Amino acid sequence: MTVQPFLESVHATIRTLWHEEAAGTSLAVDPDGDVERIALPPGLLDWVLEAVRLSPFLPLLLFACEAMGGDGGAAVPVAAAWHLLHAAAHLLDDVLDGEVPHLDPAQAMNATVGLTFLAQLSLISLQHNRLPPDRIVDLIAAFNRATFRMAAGPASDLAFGDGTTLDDYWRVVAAKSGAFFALACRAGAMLGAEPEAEIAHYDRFGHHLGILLQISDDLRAVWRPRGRGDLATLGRTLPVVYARAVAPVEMKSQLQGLVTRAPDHEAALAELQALLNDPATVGERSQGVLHYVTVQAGIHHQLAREALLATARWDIAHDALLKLLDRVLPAVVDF
Amino acid sequence: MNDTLSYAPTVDPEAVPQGTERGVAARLRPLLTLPAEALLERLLGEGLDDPDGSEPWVGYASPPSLS
Repeated sequence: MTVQPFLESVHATIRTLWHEEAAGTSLAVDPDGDVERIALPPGLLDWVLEAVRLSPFLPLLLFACEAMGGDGGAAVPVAAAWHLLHAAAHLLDDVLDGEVPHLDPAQAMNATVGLTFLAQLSLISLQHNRLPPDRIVDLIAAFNRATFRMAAGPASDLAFGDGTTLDDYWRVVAAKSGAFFALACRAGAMLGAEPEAEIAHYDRFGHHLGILLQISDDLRAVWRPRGRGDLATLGRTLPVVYARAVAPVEMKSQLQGLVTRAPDHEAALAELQALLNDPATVGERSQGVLHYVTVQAGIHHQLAREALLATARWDIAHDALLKLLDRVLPAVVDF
Repeated sequence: MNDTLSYAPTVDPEAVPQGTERGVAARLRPLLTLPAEALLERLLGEGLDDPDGSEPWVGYASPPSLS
């Protein structure tokens, strides 16, 4: 199956599932068929469906499935489940970061619960794909384990706040982005017929890909922020966390002051960016901020690549996975 | 690049085999020896580009108000 029909199928699967479940509920609870009164907010489905077409990550599940010799058709409901979970996580992050002023927190939290359980229903629909029941249970377990682990990520994120240490950072990133992308690749790979040892390579590939994506997002949050949400989380980005870990004491308070002021003052953001670019910020014994971040990105790119190269087979799906990996931060690939 | 300079460790040493960091730093040496501005340009200037303005690595527009 090629990517475009795959995405169209994921789109159709979510749409159908949503309407079937909404209609089912309305018939049971509201015989008059007043769906609007009990449905999740109407704009939510459009938002989720639009993201299917924009997401570069969904093909991960197709590629991992086909790399393991699985049927791409079975990857559709699994990708739909993963996408629903991704949307829920995105919504939750937006609420936690205060990124979208118009977003009602109570409604958003309610929507994340709805999306999470709709993901479960999508996985259960795999019974129509002739997948062994044990494998469906294994997939549901994989989703639930990853979701539980991911919940610990934001919790830690919130607990550490702007006091995040470097160890905290790596722990949180592994639990959030690492676990989430490991799930995508593991779930896709589980649709093939290979043993767990082989599936684990795809899990590891996704784990390092997810961490690389987070590093890339952090770079962008500091130097090309997309909005207030990015600026509000500056204190938890790798460049700032690393600088805080290695900077001389007198520099740390300056750094913290700039992080606090940057969301509201453009000059403070520019000063923070300059400070992070300045080798003097980290002292003589440590690598500069950009050097550290670049090497860490290079490490996770390399480990993802090695995980993929360790798989028993190699075909066009592996090439596609590698190509996707290389697109995340090409600067660390070219050299 | 000076090999005697120290890197802060990653949290899970098992996830990063010994020697990986040194090997990667050596491989990326031409990139790491660029001036800071040029290095930043390289890191930000590619990959995350979105020719059609859709921010491909985000995948989501702002969520609806849900109210």
